[in-house]
Amino acid sequence: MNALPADFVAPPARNTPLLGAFVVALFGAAAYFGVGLLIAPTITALYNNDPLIIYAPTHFEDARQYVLICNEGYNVPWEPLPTLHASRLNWMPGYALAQCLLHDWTGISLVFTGVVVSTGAIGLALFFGALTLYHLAIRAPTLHALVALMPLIGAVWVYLPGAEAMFLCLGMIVLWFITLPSLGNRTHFGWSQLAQILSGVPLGVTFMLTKPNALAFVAPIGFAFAYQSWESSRRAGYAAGFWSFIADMVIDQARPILVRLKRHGEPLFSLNDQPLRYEWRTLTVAVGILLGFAGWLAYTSVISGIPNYFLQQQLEYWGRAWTVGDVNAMFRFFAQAVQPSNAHTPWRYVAAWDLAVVIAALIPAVSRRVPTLIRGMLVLLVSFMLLTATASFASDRYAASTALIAIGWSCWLAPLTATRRYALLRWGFVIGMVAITWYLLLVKMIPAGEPGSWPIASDTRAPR
Amino acid sequence: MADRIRYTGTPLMISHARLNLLVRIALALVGFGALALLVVAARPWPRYQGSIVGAAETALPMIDDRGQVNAVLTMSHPAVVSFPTDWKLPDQICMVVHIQRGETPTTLPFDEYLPQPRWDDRPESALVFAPKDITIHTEDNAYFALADPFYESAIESNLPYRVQWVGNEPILLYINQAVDRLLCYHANGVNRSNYLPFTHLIRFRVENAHIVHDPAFLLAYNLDPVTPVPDTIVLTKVSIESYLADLVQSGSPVVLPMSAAQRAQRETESAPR
Repeated sequence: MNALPADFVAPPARNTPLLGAFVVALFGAAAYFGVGLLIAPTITALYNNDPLIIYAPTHFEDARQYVLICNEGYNVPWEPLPTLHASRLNWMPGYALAQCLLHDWTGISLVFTGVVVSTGAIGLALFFGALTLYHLAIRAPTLHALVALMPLIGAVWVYLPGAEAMFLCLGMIVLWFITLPSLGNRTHFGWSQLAQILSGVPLGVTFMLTKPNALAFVAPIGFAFAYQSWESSRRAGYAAGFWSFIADMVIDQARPILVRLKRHGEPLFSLNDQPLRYEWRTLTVAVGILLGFAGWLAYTSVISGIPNYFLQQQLEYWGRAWTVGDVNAMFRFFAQAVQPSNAHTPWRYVAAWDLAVVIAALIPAVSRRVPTLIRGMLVLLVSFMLLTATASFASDRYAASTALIAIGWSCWLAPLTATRRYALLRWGFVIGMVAITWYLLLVKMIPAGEPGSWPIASDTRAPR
Repeated sequence: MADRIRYTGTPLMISHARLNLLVRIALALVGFGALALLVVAARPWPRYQGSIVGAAETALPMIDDRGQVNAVLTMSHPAVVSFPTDWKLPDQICMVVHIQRGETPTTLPFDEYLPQPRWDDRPESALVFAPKDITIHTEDNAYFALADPFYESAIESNLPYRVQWVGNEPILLYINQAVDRLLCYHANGVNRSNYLPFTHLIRFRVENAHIVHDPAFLLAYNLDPVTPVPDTIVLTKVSIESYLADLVQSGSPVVLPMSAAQRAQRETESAPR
């Protein structure tokens, strides 16, 4: 009798916490909905009982555009070339499409479809967050998935209801997808494994078409691909370090060309066979994000008639607190958070809020409690956000809705061993931070129409 | 032991090397696809493409920015129309306009602040044709002016015809719907009004669509030398009575003869009391 292939041997019994994840999802969705109801009167009051506004979510301007995309479609700028006139093409179609489908299928008014879509998205985000933590071997994954509900970490309730909730959900699905059990060390693959690997492409495209901030995930996912492939290769007998693996990986991709290079009939290179294993499933998500970006760029350019229209809008039309790459201006912006002479000006809170998000993301990034995979991804994510996207106004939600920061904090909170000596202290720290931000947001910012988008104080431009 | 053995793959087994090859091919295809899209994004695409200048009795399309034909316009019976001297009305340029709506949906302009109570409303399904969608271009930058209601009442009071005018009210055009209207106009300039330009271009557009290709006609009257530019439509002067009679004779729906009862009513109304 022939020996069975390794794939036919059952893995050790595993207890995926599906029921717990489901319960957490229900709880999270209910909490999200409840907080939304709680703060709705405060936010709607900002509009002075305007009869033309029935219900205003925290990010009303964006909510309006997503609804109008559903109803009227995308418009194109009318001016001759070149134009910097605003267009609805700046808002991605994912969240709008979800609202269209919900409105068409159930008849729910478009005034409220955003709430329903976002609530469902939060439930799914917590469900997949719990499963992601389980894949990362984090203790009590269902409990620690709840961290995504907290302001400054998950950006879940700060923008009620918003595309950020759906973006957070898709980010969590991406993290769940790339942390699924490794395929790298299998000896044989079936079509189902191949399909699983390639399904990362449509997932990445969907992620990108929900918010362009998905681009911030390309470098972290690239790192994850390299790191996970290195881990798989080590299990297969690869002995060298991470950077050597990167070099070997690059050489291996060029192998079909290198082995054909000959001089005087003799091979030009002598290549050793290395036990390299690739976690392609992770890489396909990054490729999908880039494909989605290229597709949206092409679509917006074709229908507007303007080359690279979407990119032009994001880089030129969209207001920025500082020029991308201008580190000096970036420090000036964040320094406003601690200027005592301006203690009561609203932009000060915005700078403080943005600074807190960046710092919050870096705490799990520098902690050895957090898996190296997540730490490496976090550093790259925050770097990208600081250098590019965060320079745009209202930057906190860009970083905080990526799901990666929530997963990082969940890992940081969870005890490494059965001993829970300091876990309660860490939870206390996070809950204290939540209390402060809750107070800041509800008492100081929302009644003043914040969090808005403010540039550097010396800049006299009005907030966007 | 047997119950712990489970099948996790499909019957077709792919080796590690084959899987790497397949994934690399797939990624290369996706990468080339993305590259092709970036090339598409980097080139300028046509926007407003100017007018399609055509001849009378020719169907000219109104093309939107997605290359779709929103409507087709046909202009016929262009002429300079004079009125009896006792009416004391200046001459007008008249023509019959026929607009046929296509099957293309409407596309509304960017409305950043649409009130929330209207969020559930679907956009208007009708294209809109109105006088403001007609423009003329003259050498002295004159602007278009529709024949005012005096002309309509003078014709209805003195001639036995009912006319479908391009009035001041917008005309709605639904899918596959067509309308015929009589258009009479003159030019108003900076220092003079109610005159006929020697040459002018008249352009037609519709609302609720981003038209990048609109139909236009180059018209000339009293031009010497005659017709220096191809496609110029040379206007000749006719009296209003013969103009309307010709339209009735040609079967145009924009002019209908009055019934006996309608004529009797008008005669009664105009009789001295």
